[in-house]
Amino acid sequence: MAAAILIGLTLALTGCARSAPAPTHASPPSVSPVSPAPTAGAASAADTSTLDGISKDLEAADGANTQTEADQHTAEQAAATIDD
Amino acid sequence: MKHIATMAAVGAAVCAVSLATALPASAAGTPSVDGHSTLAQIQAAATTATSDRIASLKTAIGKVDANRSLTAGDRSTILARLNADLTAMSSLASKIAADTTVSTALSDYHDIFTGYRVYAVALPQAFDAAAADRLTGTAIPALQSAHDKLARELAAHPTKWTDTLKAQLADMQAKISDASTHANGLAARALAVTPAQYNADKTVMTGIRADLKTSVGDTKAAAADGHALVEALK
Repeated sequence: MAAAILIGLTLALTGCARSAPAPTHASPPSVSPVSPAPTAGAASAADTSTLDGISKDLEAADGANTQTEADQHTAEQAAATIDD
Repeated sequence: MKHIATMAAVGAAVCAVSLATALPASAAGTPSVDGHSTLAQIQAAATTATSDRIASLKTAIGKVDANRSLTAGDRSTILARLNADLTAMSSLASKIAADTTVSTALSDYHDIFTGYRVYAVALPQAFDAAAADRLTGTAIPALQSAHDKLARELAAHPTKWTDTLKAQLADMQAKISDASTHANGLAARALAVTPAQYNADKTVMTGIRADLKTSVGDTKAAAADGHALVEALK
């Protein structure tokens, strides 16, 4: 009898455990080896902004280089024109 | 019929501020003039030569006016010179048309070339100076700014930088420094050349053009380094 009660209690507790809703405590955060820590995430946002600024500088340089080559080419063409 | 070829700026981003100018395609259509030419032949040749130069000078003046990369001083110097040449060409055209002897006409005709060197000196030095001013005023400062920002990135996040990336950053700075060395003072050197100097030494512009070519090559290489680094750091 006592054993039956014990088994019943065990089964009840197990069933309750199975059917119980998620524990009230928060799930542990998933930790991935590649997930950035919160501080590194903030640095990534700053990096994006910095890289955008660098790209803008490079685009300005590219534009200037293209126009410089155009002027250089025109100078060479003028110089190649017979001037005698 | 003599065609005047319009020089188009190279590259995808052709900008109105480039000093494209109208240039004669070649001298093939220009009547040859020598001591055996008649007065009429000399006058006809002079009309062609002065007309070509007037057209080229007017186009160049318009572009110089619009060029915002030229320093104020260089723009002023170039415009003064081109306008003076324009006036001279018009004066020579009128004078030669009114010349009554072959010897006078021939002397005036040669002055079109040796006295002004519009194609050998005036136009090239204007374009070379514009190119040099753009290098020192825009391209090189922009590249230096990009490099310095990348260097701060390296200092802030050293673990993100491999030895290869560090070497590329160093190369970027080396190219910027070399570009600067070759471009500094280049506009002044170009604008200092005179027709008389060219008459004495027809290679007088060669070194200037070589330095310009080196500087442009450096700035393009530095920009390529910068772009590669940005991609690697994303």
